Amino acid sequence: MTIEQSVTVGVLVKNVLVDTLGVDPERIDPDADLEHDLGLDSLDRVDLLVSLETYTGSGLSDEELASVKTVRDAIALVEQRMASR
Amino acid sequence: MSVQAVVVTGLGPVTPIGVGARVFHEAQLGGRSGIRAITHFDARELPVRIAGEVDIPDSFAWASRDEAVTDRCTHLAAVATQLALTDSGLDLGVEDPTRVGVVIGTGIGGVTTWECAAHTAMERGCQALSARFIPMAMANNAASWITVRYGLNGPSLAVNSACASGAHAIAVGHLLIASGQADVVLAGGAEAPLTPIIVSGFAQMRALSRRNDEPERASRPFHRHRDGFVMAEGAAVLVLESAEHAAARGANVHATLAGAGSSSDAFHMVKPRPDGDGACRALAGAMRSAGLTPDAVSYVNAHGTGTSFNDAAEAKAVHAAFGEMAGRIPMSSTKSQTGHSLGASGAVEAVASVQAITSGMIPATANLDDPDPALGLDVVALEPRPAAVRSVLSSSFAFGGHNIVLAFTRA
Repeated sequence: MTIEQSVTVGVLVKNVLVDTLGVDPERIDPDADLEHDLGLDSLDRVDLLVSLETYTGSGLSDEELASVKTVRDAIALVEQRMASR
Repeated sequence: MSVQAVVVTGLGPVTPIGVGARVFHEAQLGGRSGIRAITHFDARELPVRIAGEVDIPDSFAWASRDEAVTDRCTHLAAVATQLALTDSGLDLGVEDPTRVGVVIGTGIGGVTTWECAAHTAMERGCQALSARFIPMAMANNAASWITVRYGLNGPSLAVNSACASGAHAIAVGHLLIASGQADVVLAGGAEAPLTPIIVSGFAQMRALSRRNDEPERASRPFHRHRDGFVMAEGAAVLVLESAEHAAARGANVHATLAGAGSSSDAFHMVKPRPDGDGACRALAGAMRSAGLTPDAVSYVNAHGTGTSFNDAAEAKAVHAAFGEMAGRIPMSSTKSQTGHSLGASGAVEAVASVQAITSGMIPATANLDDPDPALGLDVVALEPRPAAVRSVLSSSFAFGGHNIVLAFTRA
């Protein structure tokens, strides 16, 4: 994983949060809790992961889905998948 | 169990001619048309390219997050609810939330969401569908959204009877209060049907006016040369309360919801009975329910769509229900200005009916410069008519043969 890739994944996650889920970009930072800070519920979590699957190219399990609590977790999950491809 | 009288204390219209009770009323009396070339999508290739679109004021615009998770149908209902609550002066903070209900009618519900989901599924596969697609699209979304937004725990539901949905929702609200199941009901209708597929679907039925070159002149109910209705979006919510509850809080009562009459044509899926029998029974039922005789009805807010079939059958129904009074009772069609907002229309027209009582002005039917002489009705044309309006019947006769007439009387 290069620095460029990591930056790109961060932008990617942010774009999904803003464009698909309508989150205010000002509120997004790596430690933001998806539920408590961004107001996302379990349905949004599915939409976030489905959007990210498009980029990782592989399905994400319900367990992986449940493990994502923060923006940083989402970025890490995508990076991990992209690295293992 | 005593039967509770029901009054109207709040009005929240969201229409192509105006948003909010005062603006809507002034637009009605000023003869404004809300019909224009469609801007919601590219309609250039369609046979019908005009509709009544709502301009939601900036003060009611939503944050991107709310927009992303809510269909426009619910947004319109939300604006209507906020307006109605403000108009009523009701402080939900001091109300028992278990005694406040919500009934919202809609003909189609979150249809923009449906169409987007269908495109997604076809282009990217079903696994690309949003997890929020079903809740956003479901017809009860607006009713549910309002209960969540305001923390209301009384009875809540959506009502669907196509173009009668909004009026039926108000009638259900009446029943809930009259039977003691709620003290307050936020009742009305919402519709956001201006999508390529829905507009085209109605156009394929040959139900819509094709006067694309003169949008403001297209909706012409009861006209000799009417050629179909004009689709619209919109919403309206009324705050209904038991008379007792309204009196206890010193509310400003706009009118009494004195009763309703409903019936089914049992005839055809979209064509009204040509003899108007079903509609007549709804009119008669509303009068009976409200304790009115034909000579006591000051004004009939017609269903008045501007289709050849509706206006002819409605005229037959009015003649049958009112007998020799039929040609002397002033009627008019709100849809001549707003277009036809399907499941919202009955609620929008309930607002117009209540305002006729409070203002003493019967709104006109726009564009009616050549009334169909075969109808034999006193349709108020072009200019509003001052009158001592004591009681109003508001008619909704829907696809599916669902008929409902609401009766409002001066409080």
